[in-house]
Amino acid sequence: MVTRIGVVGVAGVFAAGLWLVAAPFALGCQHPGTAWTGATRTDVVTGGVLAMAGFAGLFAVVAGRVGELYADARSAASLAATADRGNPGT
Amino acid sequence: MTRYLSGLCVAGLGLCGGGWLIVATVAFGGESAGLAGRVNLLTGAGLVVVSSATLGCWATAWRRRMRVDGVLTARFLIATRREARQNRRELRKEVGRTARLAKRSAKEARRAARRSARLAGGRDVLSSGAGLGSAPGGDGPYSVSVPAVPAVPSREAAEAASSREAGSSREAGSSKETVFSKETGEPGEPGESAVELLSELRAMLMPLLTATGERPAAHGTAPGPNGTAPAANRTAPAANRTAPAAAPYAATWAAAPHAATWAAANAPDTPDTPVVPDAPPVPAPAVAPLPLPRRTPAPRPVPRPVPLRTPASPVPSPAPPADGDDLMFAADGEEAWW
Repeated sequence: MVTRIGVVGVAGVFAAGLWLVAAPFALGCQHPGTAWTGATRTDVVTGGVLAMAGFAGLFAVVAGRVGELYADARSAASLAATADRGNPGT
Repeated sequence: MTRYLSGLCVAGLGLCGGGWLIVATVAFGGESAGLAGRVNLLTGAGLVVVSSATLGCWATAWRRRMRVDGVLTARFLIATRREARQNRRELRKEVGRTARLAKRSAKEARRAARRSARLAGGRDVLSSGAGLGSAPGGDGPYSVSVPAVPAVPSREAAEAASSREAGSSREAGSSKETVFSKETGEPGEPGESAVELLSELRAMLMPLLTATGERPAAHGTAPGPNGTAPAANRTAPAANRTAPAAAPYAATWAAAPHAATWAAANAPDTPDTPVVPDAPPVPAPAVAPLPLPRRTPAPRPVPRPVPLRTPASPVPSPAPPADGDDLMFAADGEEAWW
């Protein structure tokens, strides 16, 4: 449960980064074709960093979980092989 | 471990980003920037909250995982001064309680040792046969020969004497039990105390007599001196068992002038005496047919029975107890040395 909440938090960071990138344009604070204001620049840079970090975090979390599943499968297979060697008749 | 670490990193980065958004909005005049400033402020605050929650969650998950793997063990918190004082107080109480228990145990052990020494000292008195001139014998292997008592009191006198004695302190019939109660400090059942004492006595005397070569007298090995009254019949079984050794004493004792008085005074109180079942059988020694040196009592003058109680008037003997009531005999016989 705690891990799921953590994953949701990482996804929230990713979503917050995306929102920060799109917020100046979505809210009309930055008109298209004009130079970016300081606030727009700060939001886009901060949002981009957070979005990239969130994406990397999500990727790392999923990759770690998948790696653990593979490790569990390997250990289970080795245990089964050991059991088969111990009881060859069965 | 990778996902925990990456989750922590992302959460930390989100926390930093949220903080930066708040600071940037405030520092660059976000309040006056209108809608963009407020959005940045709200986004930064939301990021801080979400990142903090994410950080806590990943930290907790990682700790759980490490505890499951055995990397993280239970913590031993440092006790505060107050807790240390409380622990010292409890420890002191425990030590005191243990010391009291040990002292009590030592006292009981000393008491038991004294009792054993007394019982061991009484072995000589008991094994000296008619030296005590005690009352009715039992069927135990270490019973003492008992002389015949010629006088036969009437039933009414016996009942009166027993009731009088019951009104007083019952010191003759149950003197041993009284001593027991005084020693242990517990008001116990006199019959049970007698049974316990006799069992202990027999268990202790068996190896001693076996070691010294004294064999217990067999039942009915020789005809004993037949009494002339129920009182004498009562003592007949015990006399028959040790007849060869006790015959001279019995004859001399029967002729003694104070024999009737003493026997009547030391007779058990039949109405007040609880019916005690037979003592547990003492295992017979395995050296039965060996010609062990038997103790032969040297001819000696008849010892004067120890007047354990001095009744105001010669109390006649009550009704004869049941045959084989060795407990009463032992209780009276032990008075001499108890």
